[in-house]
Amino acid sequence: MDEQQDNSGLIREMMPCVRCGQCRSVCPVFSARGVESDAPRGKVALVRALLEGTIEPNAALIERIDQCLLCQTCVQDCPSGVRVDRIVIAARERIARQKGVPIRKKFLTRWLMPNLNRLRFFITLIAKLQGLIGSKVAAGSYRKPRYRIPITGKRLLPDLTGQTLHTLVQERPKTGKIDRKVMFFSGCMITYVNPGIGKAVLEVCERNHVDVVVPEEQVCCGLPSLAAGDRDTFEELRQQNLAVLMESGCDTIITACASCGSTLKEHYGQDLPMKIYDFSEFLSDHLKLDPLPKSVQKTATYHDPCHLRKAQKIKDQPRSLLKRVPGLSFQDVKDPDRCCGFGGTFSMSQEKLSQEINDTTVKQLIETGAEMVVTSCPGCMLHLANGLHRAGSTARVVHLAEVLAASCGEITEEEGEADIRYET
Amino acid sequence: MAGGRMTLSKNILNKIEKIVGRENYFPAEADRICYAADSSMLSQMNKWVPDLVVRVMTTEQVSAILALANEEKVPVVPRGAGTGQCSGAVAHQGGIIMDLTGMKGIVSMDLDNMQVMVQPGIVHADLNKELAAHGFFFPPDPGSTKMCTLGGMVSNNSSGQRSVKYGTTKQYILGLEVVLPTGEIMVTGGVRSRALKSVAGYDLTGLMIGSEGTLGIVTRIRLKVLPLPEKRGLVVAFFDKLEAAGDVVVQVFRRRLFPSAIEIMDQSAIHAANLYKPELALPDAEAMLVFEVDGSPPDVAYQARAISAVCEQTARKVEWTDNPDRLATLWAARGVVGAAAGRIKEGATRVYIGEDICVPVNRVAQALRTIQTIGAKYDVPIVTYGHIGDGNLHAAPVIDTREPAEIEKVKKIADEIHHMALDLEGTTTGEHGVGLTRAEYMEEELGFSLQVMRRIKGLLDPHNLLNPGKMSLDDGVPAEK
Repeated sequence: MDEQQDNSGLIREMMPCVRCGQCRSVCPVFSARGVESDAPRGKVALVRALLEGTIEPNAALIERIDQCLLCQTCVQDCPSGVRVDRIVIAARERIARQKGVPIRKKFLTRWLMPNLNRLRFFITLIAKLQGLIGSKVAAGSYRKPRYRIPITGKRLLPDLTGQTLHTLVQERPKTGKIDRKVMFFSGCMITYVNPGIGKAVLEVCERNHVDVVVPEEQVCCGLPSLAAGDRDTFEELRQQNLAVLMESGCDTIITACASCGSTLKEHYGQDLPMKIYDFSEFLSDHLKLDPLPKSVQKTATYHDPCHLRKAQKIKDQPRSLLKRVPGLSFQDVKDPDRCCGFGGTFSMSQEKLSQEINDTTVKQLIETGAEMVVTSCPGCMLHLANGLHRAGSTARVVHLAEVLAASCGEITEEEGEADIRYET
Repeated sequence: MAGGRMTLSKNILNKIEKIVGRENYFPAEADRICYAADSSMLSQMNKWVPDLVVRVMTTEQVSAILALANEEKVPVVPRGAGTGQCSGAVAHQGGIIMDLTGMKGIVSMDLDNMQVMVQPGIVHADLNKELAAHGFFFPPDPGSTKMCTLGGMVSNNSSGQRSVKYGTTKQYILGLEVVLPTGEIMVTGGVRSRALKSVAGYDLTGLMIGSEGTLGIVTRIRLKVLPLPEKRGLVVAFFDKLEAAGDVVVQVFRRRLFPSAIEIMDQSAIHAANLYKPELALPDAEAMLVFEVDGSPPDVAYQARAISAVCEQTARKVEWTDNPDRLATLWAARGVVGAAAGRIKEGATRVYIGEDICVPVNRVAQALRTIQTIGAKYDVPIVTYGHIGDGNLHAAPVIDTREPAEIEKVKKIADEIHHMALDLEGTTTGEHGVGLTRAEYMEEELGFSLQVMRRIKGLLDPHNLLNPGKMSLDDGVPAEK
C-alpha cells in the first residue's frame, strides 16, 4: 500500500471524531495532565495535522503521540466509535519511518524480545545478578533496585528464579483423565519472568481434564513492537507465531496475559481457524469447571486489565470465578475502568506520568481493604505491585490463575486451606 | 490553518510565562493545534491555531494576563472543555487561548442556604456527583455533562433535558466573580451576599450569563442548588407519525402534568442510538418520546401512569420504567446520540451546523417535518433529536467532510433550518450559543438590541480584545474557507 492510500485510510478512521470531548472524561493521561493535547481527541487532531503536513514530527509532537497508553478506555466510551488506539499506532509508525524507533524501545522490542536465545540468556544472567541490583520486597516476589536501572528506572523488578515456564512444564508429570487439548500462548512475561502463573494455568486446566500444550518456539506476541511503531518487527513475530499456532494441532488457544490475548484476537484471529480465549473466558464460558475444593481465607479485589475489559470485553468472568473460591471475600473497586498506567513501554518512556496514573488506581485498590489484588495480566501485576509498595500497602498482587490453582488444592501447604504462592 | 507561526513578541511571552509558570505555559505547536477547534464544523474546517495557550489556576493569574493583553492589544479567548458547537472558544483572530479547566475546585458548600461556590473549570458531572452525596443537585443537565465545565455553561447559558421543569443555567446563578477585559475584578450579586435573591443594582450577573466570554472571564460562580428528587421514572413511547408525538406533548401539559424532561428522537436518531448501544433494542418508529418524571415515589407513579395513558391514545408502544439501570442506559444513549449520529452512514461524519434551533412547542412537529424535507431536497441524511418540551431541536446532518460539494450543501441546509426557525417565531439557538457560526443571523434575529449589545461590548472592552468577533459584536464575518 502506498503512503497516500495509507493516509487516506487513516483519515477515514479519524473522520467520525466530532470532537465532542467525551474522551476527556475517561482518558487516564488527560486526567493526570489536563491539557487538550493529552486528550484522545487532541491526539486525533495532531495525527490529522501530521498527515496533512501542517506539522512536522518535531520533539513536542513525538512526545504527545508517545503519551498514550493504548488502553482503549476512550474507544470503549466513544459515541462515534473512533479507534484512537489504531490512530496513535499508525502515527507512531509514520514517525518511526522518519525518525526511527527510540533506542530504549528498540532494545526491547527489536533486539531482545523477538530473539528467544537472547531472551533466555538475558533472563538467566539477570537471575544470577539480581542480588546486586536490590533486595527482596513484597513477600519476596520482587526486588527493589538500589539505584536507577537503565530502561526500568527505580521501579520494583520481579524476583527471577532462573527457571522458565518450559523448564517447569518439563518437570511436571501428567496424570489423570483428559477430555480436550488446548494450546497455551503464554507470552514473554509468563514464560520467562513469572512462570509460576503459567504453571498455575496448567494446574487448573489439568485438574479440569484439559491437556495444555506449551510450544517452546512461540515468541513475543508483538504488541510492544506494534505499540512502538515498529510494524515490520511485529509482522515478523506474527508470522513466526502463526506457524507455531498452526502446527499445534489444537482447536483452541488460551492466554493468561490480557495484552497477548487482545493482540492475538485482533491481529491473528483472521488468519487462524482456531478459537482464542482468555483463561477466565475459557474456564467460565467454555468449560464445566469442577467445584473448587480448598478455601482461600482472604479478602480480595480485582483489577481489570484494559486489554481484557476494554479490548476483549471480559469483565464478569474473572469476578464470577473469584466468587466461586470458597472462603474468599470479594470487594470490588469503585471505578473498575481505571487503567493501572503500565502500558508496556509507556511505563519506561513516560515513567513519571505512568506512576502518577498508577497512584490513583492503587489508592482505589487500597480503599477496598483487600489483602490480595487479583488481576489477569503480568504487566498490570508488575506495575500494581510497584504502586502498592510505594504506597506502603502490604496487599499482594496475584494472578487469577494462581488463586484458582490454590483453591484447586494443588499447592496447598495446610490441609483444608489453600495458600497463595508468590514464588515459582 | 494559521500554522505554527508565533506572532507574540518574546517580551510578552516571557511575561506570560512568569505569570502562569512553565507548567501552565504552552507555546509548542503540538499543544496549540489541539485548541484550534471545538465541535463546530466551521472551526474544524478552518482550524484557527492560537498563538499561545495558557492554563490559569487563579483569579490573579487571569487578571494579570488580561491586564497585560489589554496593554499589549493581544486578543484573549477563554475556554473550558471546548465542547461548544458554535466556534465560540476558538481564536480566529489569533492571540491567546486561556484554558480555565485547571480551576476546578468547589470553593465552598453552604447547603443550609442551598448554595455552593465553584471555580469555572469544574466538570458538570463531577459537581453533581459531589452534590448528590449530600442529597442536592444542580439541575441544568447538558448532554455533555461528563466533560463540559460550569464556566462554559455560564458563558453560554446552557441547559439540557430538564429545562422543561428546572429552566436554564441563569436561574441558578446567584453571583459571579468576573475579570473584566481590563484586568479589573468584579463581584456581582453582592460581594458578601449569601442571599438567595437580591435586586440591589443592575443585574450584572444576568449580563454576564450567556455573554460567551465577550464581556469578562468568570472565575467564581455562586450557584443555587436544589434538593435531589427522591425518585425518577421514565415513560418511553414510540409513534408512527411525528405529528402524533408533537400532539402528545401539548396534551400532557393540558392535563396539568409536569415532567422534568421531554425528549424526542426521530427515526434516524433511534437508529443511531441502536447502533451505539445495540442492547437498547429500540423499535423502529417515526418518533420516540422520552418523558422523565421526578419527585416522591407516589407522585412519580401517578405522573408516569397519567403520561402513559395520554401516550397510549396514539402511540404504537409505551414503556414505563423506574429501574435505575434502565434509566441510566436510556439517558446515556440519549446524551450521546448527537455524537453517535455519524454511525448511520459508513465513512461519514455528523457535523455541528444549524444544530440548535428552538421553536414554539406546538410547532415542533412542523419543524421536524420541514427538516426532513430539507434533508431530502439536498440528499443529506439529518438525524434530529432534542428537547421537545421546550421546543429545542438538534439537527445533525451526516456528510463526508472530505467532499467540498457536501460541505456546500450542508451550509445551505443550515441556512434553511435557521431561517425556518425564525419564520416559525423561534430562535437560531436555544442553548448552544452564537459564537461565529450563528453570528450572521443576529441582525435578523435581534434587530436594534444587537446595536445595544455592541455599545455594552465597546464600553467594557474598548479595544475589542476579549473573545473578539463572536456574536456579531464587531460586525466580524468569519473568514470561511
